[in-house]
Amino acid sequence: MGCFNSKFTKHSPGYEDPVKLAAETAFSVSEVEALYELFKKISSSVIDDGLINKEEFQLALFKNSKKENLFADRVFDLFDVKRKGVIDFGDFVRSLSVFHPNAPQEDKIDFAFKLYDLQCTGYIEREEVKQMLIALLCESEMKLADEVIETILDKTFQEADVDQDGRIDRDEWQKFVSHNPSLMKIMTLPYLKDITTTFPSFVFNSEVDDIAT
Amino acid sequence: MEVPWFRLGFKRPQADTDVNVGLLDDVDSAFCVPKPACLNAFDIISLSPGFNLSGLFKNDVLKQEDESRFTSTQPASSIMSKLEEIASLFRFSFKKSKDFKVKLQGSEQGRKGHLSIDAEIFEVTPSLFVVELRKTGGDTLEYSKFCSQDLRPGLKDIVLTWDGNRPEKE
Repeated sequence: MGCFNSKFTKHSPGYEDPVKLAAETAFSVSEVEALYELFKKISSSVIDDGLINKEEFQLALFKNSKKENLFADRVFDLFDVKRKGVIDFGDFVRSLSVFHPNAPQEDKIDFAFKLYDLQCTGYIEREEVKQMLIALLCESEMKLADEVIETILDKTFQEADVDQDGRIDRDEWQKFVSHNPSLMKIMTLPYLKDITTTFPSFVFNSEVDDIAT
Repeated sequence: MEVPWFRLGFKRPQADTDVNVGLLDDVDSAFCVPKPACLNAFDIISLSPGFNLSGLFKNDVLKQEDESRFTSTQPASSIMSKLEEIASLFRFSFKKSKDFKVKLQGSEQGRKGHLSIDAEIFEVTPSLFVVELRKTGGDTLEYSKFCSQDLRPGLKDIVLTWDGNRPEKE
């Protein structure tokens, strides 16, 4: 594989060998190539440095680089695997892989847990859920009385917080999800299975030999 | 007392449960009242467009026009009745299922066939419900028009708030 390295040096920093990424994720080599097309587009939209920063992520997601959103922030932070404030290509592919229909359910449950664990304490605290609930109601302009919010939290924690310690740990989350599978809906993007048809331009830019796939 | 039919008399209360199967059916439906599916805090939180990564894969503004949500403090059965009322008012066929799902279909042929809408009622708390509306067939513009001119005004009495998720204008 060493002889192919020179072909990749002209790529942006953070670029990773698609064959390696395909081996580690739910994507095929040609799918990783297609994702690179997407990555190039997003990572050059504000600063052309081959990395996706928060503004570029917001721009891609909402078509508005200035739109702040608590949940998009959480997704960005989790995609930013190395905690550098930017998402490189490897981070991008590995994180998106969790959303692939074929990704292990365990990975999805794990990712969602970390998403909701705002303070990264290893527990989903009641206060964190309250914060997220209020943020959601705010963004959808649905106003609910505080007592109603508390009732929703009570009901949720009654079911999820088995040991009633005011927070949901990883095991409780696992059980909760098994009883409420719809919670994992956001963790699967069905069209990731057809990614090669979404960006046909990759076909002309593909550097990986067909034999290699 | 040793005559069997006396004993039969004593057994009758138990025999009732076997004999009166029809009555039991009614008792069943009275006690096991069908309830809408419940939404917990995380179900609500996951409605955020911030979790919807499909925007990464789309060039244009994320259109959520085909889907909308409203809250209501009315009981689920009243919401169902209201939807049925609107359906007949605007000549939509109305099909409901026990799990509080509704299918509406317009009688007129639009640009892309009949307008068809799915509605589903969810319970958040015993006094708060969320109704999800989704276009399942027909032209999007016709759906938007129907929603803004007919559906929303028609639902005015039972709606607490509409989901404010609109495409970003920039």
